[in-house]
Amino acid sequence: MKSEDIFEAVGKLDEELLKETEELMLKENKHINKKRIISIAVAAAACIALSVGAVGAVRSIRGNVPEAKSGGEVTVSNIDTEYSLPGTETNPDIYGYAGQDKRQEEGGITVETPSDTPSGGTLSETTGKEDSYGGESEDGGQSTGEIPPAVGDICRYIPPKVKGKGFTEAEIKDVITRENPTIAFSIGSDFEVSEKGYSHFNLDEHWMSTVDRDFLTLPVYSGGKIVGDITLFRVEGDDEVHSSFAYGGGGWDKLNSIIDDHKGAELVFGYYENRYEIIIAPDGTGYTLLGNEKTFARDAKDYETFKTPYNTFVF
Amino acid sequence: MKDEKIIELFEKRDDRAVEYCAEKYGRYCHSIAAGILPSREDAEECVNDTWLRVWNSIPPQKPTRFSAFLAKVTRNLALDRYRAISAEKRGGGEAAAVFEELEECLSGGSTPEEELSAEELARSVNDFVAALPRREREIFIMRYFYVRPVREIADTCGLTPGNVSVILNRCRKKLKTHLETEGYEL
Repeated sequence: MKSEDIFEAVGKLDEELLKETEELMLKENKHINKKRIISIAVAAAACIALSVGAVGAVRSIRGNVPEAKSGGEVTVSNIDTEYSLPGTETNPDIYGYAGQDKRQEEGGITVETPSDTPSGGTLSETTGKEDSYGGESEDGGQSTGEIPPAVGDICRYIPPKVKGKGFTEAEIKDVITRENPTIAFSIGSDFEVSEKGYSHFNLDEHWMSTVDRDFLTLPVYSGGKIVGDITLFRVEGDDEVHSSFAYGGGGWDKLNSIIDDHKGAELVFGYYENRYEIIIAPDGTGYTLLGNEKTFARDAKDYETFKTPYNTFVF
Repeated sequence: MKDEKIIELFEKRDDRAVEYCAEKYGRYCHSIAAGILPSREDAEECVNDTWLRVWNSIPPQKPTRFSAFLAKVTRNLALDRYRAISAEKRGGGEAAAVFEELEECLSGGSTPEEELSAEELARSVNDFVAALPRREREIFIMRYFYVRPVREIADTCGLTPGNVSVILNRCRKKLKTHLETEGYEL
C-alpha cells in the first residue's frame, strides 16, 4: 500500500463528513475577508486623510470598499457570487496570477474592488443565500478580489510596542527537555534545538505593531537546516510556560533559502495580520514563507521601524 | 444561482451550466487543484477537466451536495494529474508533503493486502474519520482532503501551527492503529 492509496481513500469520504469542515472553512474565510476589507478600508481612508486631508478623497476610497454602517457592521454585497476556500486563492501573489482580481489605484494606495462590482459603486444589497455560498449572515459575503496590501504600501508605521516579560534560560531549557521526545518521535534523533530564539512583531488589522516577548520561537535544526520550531508562550494572566512544536508542511525550505541568502544578517521576524509569517532583510526586502516574495517594506527605513532587540535573529 | 438550477441546466444539456458552475465554483475548485498540483497552469487545466467531467457525469448522476461533488471530482482529477507529473519528475508542493506525512501510517513494503479493494480501504478510512472527535476530524479533512497548508489550517481553527502538527501527528498514529486493527498489514 502506498500513501497515495490512503490519500485516494480519503477522497471518497462521505459528503456529510465533508460538509461540516467545508462550512467551517467557508465561515472562517468570510470572517478573514471581512476583517481584511475593513482593515484596507480603514487604513486606506486614514492614509488619504492624513496625507491629503481631503474629505473628498476619503469618499472616493470609501466608494470602492464595503460601506460601513452604524454600529460598525459591514454589509458586503454582490461581492460573492463565488465559492472559495480560505487563504491562498484570493491572493494572486501567492499563486503568481492575477485571476479576475481588479485593483484600483487611489492616491497611490491599492484598494481592491470586487470583481463583479462596478467601480465606484456603493455596496448595499446582499445577493442572497445561495449566491453567497455560506448563506445569509451578519458577516455579509466575502470579497473575491482583495489582496492584503504590503506592509510598506499603506503608510509609515509606528514602531512596535513591546509587551511581555520574556523567558528565563531555565524556562527555555525546561521546554526543550519537555519537547525532546515529541521532536525525536517526529523527525528522528538527529536534531538540535537552538536555545536562542526570537519573538515576532505582529502587524494587526489596525496596522499597529506589537512584539510580544511572551511568544518566543526557537529554531530546530537537523542536518544543518531548520526543520521545525518550538514556540514558547504564556497565556495572558498566567505564569505557566506553554509550548508547541511545529514541523512538516510547507515553508521550511523557503525559510532555509532566505537564511542561506542572508547569513550573518540580522533578520526581522513578524506576522502579518496573524495570517502569515514575514521576514524583513536589512535591505528592506520582505519575504513570506508561502513562496511569494514581495517588497513589503519600500525602503530600509521600514526594516528599522519594525526592528527591536526581541524580534531579530542572526543565523 | 442555486445549485439545483445549475444541476438542472446540466441535465438539460444547456451550455450555460458550465458557465454558471465556473462562475460560482471556479475559485473553489481551483484552490483544491492548486493545493495538489505544483503550478497554476496544471491547476487551471485540472479545473477545466473538472467541468468536462461534471458535464459527462450529470446526468445520469444527480449530486445531493454539489460543492462536495465538485470537490471530489477536482481532487480525483488533480491526483491523476499529480501522478502523471510525478512520473515526469515535476512533482512537489503541498501534495508531496501530504504524501510524506501519510507514509507514517505505513510500514513500507508490498504485501498481499495491497490487493484489497480500494473500496474497502475507503470504507475503513471513512469509518476512522467519522469516529474522530469533531475538531480532529475537521483538521484531518482540511489537511488530507482539501490539502490545505498547516499554517492555513491553524489560522482557520484558531490554533498555532505547532498544535495543528501535533493533532495531525496523533491522527496519523490513530489511523495506522485503526488500519492495522482492520487487518491491513502496513
